[in-house]
Amino acid sequence: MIYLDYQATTPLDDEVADLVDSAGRRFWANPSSPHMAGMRSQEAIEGARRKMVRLLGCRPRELFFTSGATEANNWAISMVKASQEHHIITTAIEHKSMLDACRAFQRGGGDLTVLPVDNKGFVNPTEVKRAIKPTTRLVSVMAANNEIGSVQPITDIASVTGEAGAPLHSDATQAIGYLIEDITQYPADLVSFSSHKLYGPKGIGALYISDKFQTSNKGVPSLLHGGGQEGGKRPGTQNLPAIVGFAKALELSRAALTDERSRVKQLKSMFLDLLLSHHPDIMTNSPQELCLPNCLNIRIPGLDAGELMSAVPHVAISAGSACNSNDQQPSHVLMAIGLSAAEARSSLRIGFGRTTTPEETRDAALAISAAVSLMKAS
Amino acid sequence: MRNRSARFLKRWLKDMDSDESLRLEGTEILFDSDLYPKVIAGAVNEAGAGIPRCPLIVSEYLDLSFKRLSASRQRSSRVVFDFNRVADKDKVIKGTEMYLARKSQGQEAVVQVFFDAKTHDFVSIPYSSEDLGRRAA
Ligand SMILES: Cc1ncc(COP(=O)(O)O)c(C=O)c1O
Repeated sequence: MIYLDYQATTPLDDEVADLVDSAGRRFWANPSSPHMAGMRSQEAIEGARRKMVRLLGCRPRELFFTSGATEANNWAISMVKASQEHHIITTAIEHKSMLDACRAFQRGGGDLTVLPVDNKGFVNPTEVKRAIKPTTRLVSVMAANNEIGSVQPITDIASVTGEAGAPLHSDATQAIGYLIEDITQYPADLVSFSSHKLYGPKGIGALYISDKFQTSNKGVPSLLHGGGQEGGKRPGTQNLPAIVGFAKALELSRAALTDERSRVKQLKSMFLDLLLSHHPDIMTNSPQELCLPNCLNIRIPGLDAGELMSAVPHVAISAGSACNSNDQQPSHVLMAIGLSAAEARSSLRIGFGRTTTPEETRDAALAISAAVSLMKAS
Repeated sequence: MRNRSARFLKRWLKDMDSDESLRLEGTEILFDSDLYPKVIAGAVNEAGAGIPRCPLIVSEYLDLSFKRLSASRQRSSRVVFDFNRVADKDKVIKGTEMYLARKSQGQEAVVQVFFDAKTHDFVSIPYSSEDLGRRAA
């Protein structure tokens, strides 16, 4: 199989897998237990947190482990009490975990604005400014989109929200591995991200909550209720092996950040050039500039993406986001950039990553080209 | 150390704004912790006097230790290694946070070494003012 679906998830790095395995065996005691074995588990978690905060430039009190970005997004939204006096702004191309959390806020009586995006998936900061009300309690704009790769003008958006005194949340799940180094330089007050997009284990993520937000908000309301873990703000016995693996995965991704960024970008251009040389009518849904270096979304006019995927079963790609290919609806992201349902159905997402080779890239492009030719001929 | 802590509480009860990380809730004096949902620094008795609890006493003990250290050596960064029983871990960690968050002048670290005198087994956990100190927002 040629795996080209790195926006859905990344394969677990071998070194990380070994560490997760050994941490699970060595540190099985409950980190909250007041005995030596428990202390060792506690130190393993705190050591992982220290490693992550050094890499991210933030402080331990600003980093909270969650079960993934879905929980982190839900947590951020839950901090705003649902009522007509409380307003949240988000965008039409957020991940489902953000959009659905926002819809739940709205169903509970909250005031919600979902901003449109342009035809390349960019949010206009002026529209954010226009949407802000005196009652706006949170603005949430993702760092980079998981289907088409558009990277949002967060700095400009942050100056708008900053001026209005509205906190900014950003889902950086796709961006953290390529675009964000020092999280304190990234101008959002809250940032969600996840380990499994970084070659780490699944079921672990984090919410960064800036000191500034915590101080002005007078603390951090928790989503869950229970024990005292994460300072009582995210109770539940911590997923220690995953936390340890998450920290290692972040460390490894930082070590190769710049090289990997340009390498995957080259693979992406190579793939697209090859495809276009055979089928010049193929269109790109992804923006050319300000795009995740490893994400490519294309449209093959007149073809059904699902059928094409069946024609190249050895190439793992995705029609829309893996998260919503189940619900048989055309992707909400592709609809938001103005595609028709038929155009959305003829769109494919190809994601490149650490294990992708130039040979695989070429083979996949040729296999897809051949399948397109066949389908067009029939 | 208990007396030193009681003196601190006496001063604080007269001027609560002098340390905003503490608050009086009923008869309990609570520290606003990042590591624990609830840290009781002390209590107020019927006569209105402050009775220190373990975390505050540990914090005062660290305060004194760092004061001694800075008096004896002109170093820009200071570390205290503190040996404790595992059974005392929560009060010791709470007190370490109380010191580093409230009192530390920066560039200070406390390494809590939890030691088992029988097996000679130990776990050490470092805490620093950089990590736990409160930064003005
Ligand atoms: C942008 C974005 N946000 C959130 C998520 C959900 O992350 P998790 O699987 O860690 O809950 C994903 C993953 O698909 C994503 O791409």
